[in-house]
Amino acid sequence: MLETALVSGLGSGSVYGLIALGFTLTFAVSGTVNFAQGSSMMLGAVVCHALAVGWRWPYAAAVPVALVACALWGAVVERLAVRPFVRRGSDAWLMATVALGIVLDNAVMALFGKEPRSLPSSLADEPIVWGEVGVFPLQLLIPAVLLAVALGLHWALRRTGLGLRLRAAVENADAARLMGIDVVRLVALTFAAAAALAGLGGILVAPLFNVAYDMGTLFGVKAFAVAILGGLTRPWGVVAAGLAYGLVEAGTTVWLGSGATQIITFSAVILALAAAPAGVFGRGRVRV
Amino acid sequence: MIKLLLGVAAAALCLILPGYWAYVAGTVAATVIVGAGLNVLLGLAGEVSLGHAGFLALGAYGVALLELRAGLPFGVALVLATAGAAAVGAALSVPALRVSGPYLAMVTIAFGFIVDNAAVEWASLTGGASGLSGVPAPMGTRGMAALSCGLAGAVLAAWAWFARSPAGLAMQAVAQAPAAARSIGIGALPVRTLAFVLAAAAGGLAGGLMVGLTGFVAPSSFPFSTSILLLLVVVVGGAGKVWGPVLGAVAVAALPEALSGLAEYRLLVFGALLLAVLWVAPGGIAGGLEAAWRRVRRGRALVVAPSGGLVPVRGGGLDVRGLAVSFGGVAAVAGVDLVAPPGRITSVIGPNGAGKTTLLNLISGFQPSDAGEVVVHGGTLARTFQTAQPFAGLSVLNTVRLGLLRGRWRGAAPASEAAGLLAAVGYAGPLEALGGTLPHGDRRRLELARALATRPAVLLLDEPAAGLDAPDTRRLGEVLRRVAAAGVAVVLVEHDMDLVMGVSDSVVVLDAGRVIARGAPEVVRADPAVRAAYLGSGAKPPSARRMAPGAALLEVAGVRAGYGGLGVLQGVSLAVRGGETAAVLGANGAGKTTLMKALAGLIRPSAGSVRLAGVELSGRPAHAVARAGLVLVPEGRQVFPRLTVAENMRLGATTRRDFLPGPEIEAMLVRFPKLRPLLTRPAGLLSGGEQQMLAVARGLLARPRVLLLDEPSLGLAPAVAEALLEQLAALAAEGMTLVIVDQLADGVLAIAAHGIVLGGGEVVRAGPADGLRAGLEAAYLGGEVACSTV
Repeated sequence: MLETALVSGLGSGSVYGLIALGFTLTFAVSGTVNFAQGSSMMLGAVVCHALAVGWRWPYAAAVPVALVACALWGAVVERLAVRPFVRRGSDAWLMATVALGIVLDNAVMALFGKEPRSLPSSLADEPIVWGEVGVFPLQLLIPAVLLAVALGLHWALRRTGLGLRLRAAVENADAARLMGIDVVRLVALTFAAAAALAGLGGILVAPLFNVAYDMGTLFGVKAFAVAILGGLTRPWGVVAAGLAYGLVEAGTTVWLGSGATQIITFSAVILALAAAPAGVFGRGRVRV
Repeated sequence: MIKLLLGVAAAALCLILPGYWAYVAGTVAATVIVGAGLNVLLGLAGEVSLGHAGFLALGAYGVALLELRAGLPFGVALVLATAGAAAVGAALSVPALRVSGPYLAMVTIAFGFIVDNAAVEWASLTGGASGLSGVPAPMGTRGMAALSCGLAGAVLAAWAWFARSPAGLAMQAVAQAPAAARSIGIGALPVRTLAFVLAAAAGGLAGGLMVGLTGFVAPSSFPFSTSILLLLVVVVGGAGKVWGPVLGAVAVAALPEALSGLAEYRLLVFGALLLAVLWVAPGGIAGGLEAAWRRVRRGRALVVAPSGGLVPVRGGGLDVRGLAVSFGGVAAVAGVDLVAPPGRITSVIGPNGAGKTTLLNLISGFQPSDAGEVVVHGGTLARTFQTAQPFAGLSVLNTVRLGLLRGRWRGAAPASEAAGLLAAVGYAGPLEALGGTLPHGDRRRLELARALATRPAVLLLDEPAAGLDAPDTRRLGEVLRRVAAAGVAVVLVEHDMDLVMGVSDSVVVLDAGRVIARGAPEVVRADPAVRAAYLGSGAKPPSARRMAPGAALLEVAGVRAGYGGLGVLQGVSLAVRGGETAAVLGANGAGKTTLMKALAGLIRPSAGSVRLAGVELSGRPAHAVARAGLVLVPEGRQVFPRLTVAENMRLGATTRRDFLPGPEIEAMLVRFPKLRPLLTRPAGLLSGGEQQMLAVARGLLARPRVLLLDEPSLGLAPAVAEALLEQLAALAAEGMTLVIVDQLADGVLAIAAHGIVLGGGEVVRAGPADGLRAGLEAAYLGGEVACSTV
């Protein structure tokens, strides 16, 4: 029982981690985030469902197209809900991204319907059974994907020209501009990448749950909690925080029931922020 | 008053309306109440809460449980539930005080989810997902609606009163300019806690009224989207405006009625509406109406008879002993002694980077010191800021009244006294003008009046004349003399040497964090050590290099630029031919760095042209200017501290396709051999001189057509600065086109063929290098007015 819960906790924790990595990317370069990352996650799952189930595309085609759609969406969010406000020196981007997320959620509801739908996957049909523990292959794939993404990000930031430019922009945006780096475009790029990462999380988790227009809200909120606990600018801190969050959540559910889980985990988030305002796994921006 | 009357009228109307409409009116009124509370948090304190529905739920469940389980009457239950919500708000403000922005948003979201889930889970108490029904409301729907309307009127009246009360003004001051608020004694902590408590109490009250209206509460009554809707109410209506929540609540309540066929898409419309308001009308509906109203009403000025003005102070003074602080191993202030006697103006001068502003921050406690002590005799200390920090949304009069209150929430702050101070500093504009709309000179005067309002014994001024024209500067000098004559110990940090030499009783000269001279103005001006600190050693003869023939490669004509409303450059022109080195000289604050930023595209010139080989670059973003071949090595080097030296160099060549990392980096290591063993070190660990070499190497790897260097010798030890200048001379000899800004004029003039001298944002001299040296001392240290030979 506990083992099964822990495996599923590792799975949802990995999805939090994927979405939260997106938060760290945009926050590091621009000091802003897409507060509606949950909607990006939902978009990935919904587009994938529409292509794979509706139009019967093979997953090999549906998944990349869904990810591209998410990336485009992320760039749109940056252009419409972040850039205009940052230019004005206003922090209304926080509310504006929330608003744009509401628009997307409800537009999807109008097009896709209110009813949750299932996304079939051969990876979530037959559990692998070890003794008394049954695990879907997908549940093992999700943490593997998170680790692969985190490693890939780590490598790309250190070993590619784009990664170097990104790190330069993080350290000193004005000096980066003096090097001829188009920081505005880099920021848009990170928003696109963040949305694609969230979309990937949505696609991976969809066969285990369901696809619905409002599936992203709670995931997005928890992923943001994870990002903050992980330190917002530290990718590995965020990965660790995501997995820890998923495991704690699964453990609490087993011992105390599913309802208590959210009370306890969210209380833990508040207490953690009160005790360590910069996040548990890192340092962030703290009010002076 | 009008709010109360309106509330009573609406209440009376509720009693005669048909039941459904009374219910709608009651719901709108409850929304107005919670909106007014959120308007304290968002509109006055500037904080976003994304979990405010949690307070509604607390109030609603509180009333329902106290009535059903404890058998209390509705009125008592409502009061207790409101108090309970306020207490929870106070508890929640503890984490909220320590974090802001996205972190605070997370805290409030988490709070909302906790309340929501607790309502479901604690089924034995709350009835679980099906909630509690049959909550008695003693006065029926109409009575409850009337009560809600009456209370909404009262809450609005209270909001309007609070926004103008000392605590409300302090709250806005903290939100708009935290450092300035702190400088006049306003503590951020109590102010922010109060904002949370008030917002929570209003939420609790509204929740209690809602349960009275419906007789029913369940977790589904207050979903996550309610919190977003509440934000919408405040933002659409107009954050920080008393009528904002009313307009917002009516819009939010009326829209579903108007869109009844589109009920499904309610949230879609709300989301789009919120976005549209944020884009086009950040002030909301009320903000737009108010702006229109101000235009109509213009001309009716607030008239207050001034009284008081400058009040004599006795026995004050400042004693600073051995003050020191270092940043990352570099001593910014290294054991400074300073005595500022009462009734005297003591000026602190020194070249860029000498540690003047750091010294002010240490004295005023804005920065903790490593060693030394600061003693203020006979009263308190006040300060102004290098960049004026007005409370943008507060009137001039209220800003000064806040100063008079010195952070207290009660007590007298007579308008006449505030007006008297404003008159004393020479402010002649309208008293009701908002701080954010003032022209630059008035911002400076307001800042001075705000500081004086705290009745300080010691007044610290950080470049009060920056950006002022000559007549304004003269008037400022007169005001400062009057302030000193009233017995205040004035400490003046200033670049305008005519002002400093004209008004000071004594002058202290800092260089590299140490006092290198002190005494009467004329003594200091004649001191050779001071001249060397400002102009360089004077050992090298100016360059006899001839100007190159031919057309200009870089052509700067009539460039004007500045920051916000502050114009710094007043039309600067400069032409540099290929292979030439040009010097840009001038005293601190003359506009040299602003010119470099304008050329590099970091700030956008408001007029004039910047042409590189005939191509217009003015108005292009910085990265495009760099790609075109005009590359700036910025002031303070600005290497990427956590990237390695090699990575920093590679970034220099970002835009080049023909970059050959191996041989080109090797060539830089030949040029700057000191960098060779440091190649894999993070650049932040390098010494100042090494960082400057790296910054030059990084700039060179871009293969610039013209390389701009801003203060390359700033903060370097003399020997290091000399070595660097030799490197630059070598570059010039190789035919590189250079524009060098440096305060140490002698070193640069030894390289440059020609140059310009800036003063007050204009070119005051231009010509061959050997002709520029004469007259520079006057430009740097005051005295005879530098005459224009342009």
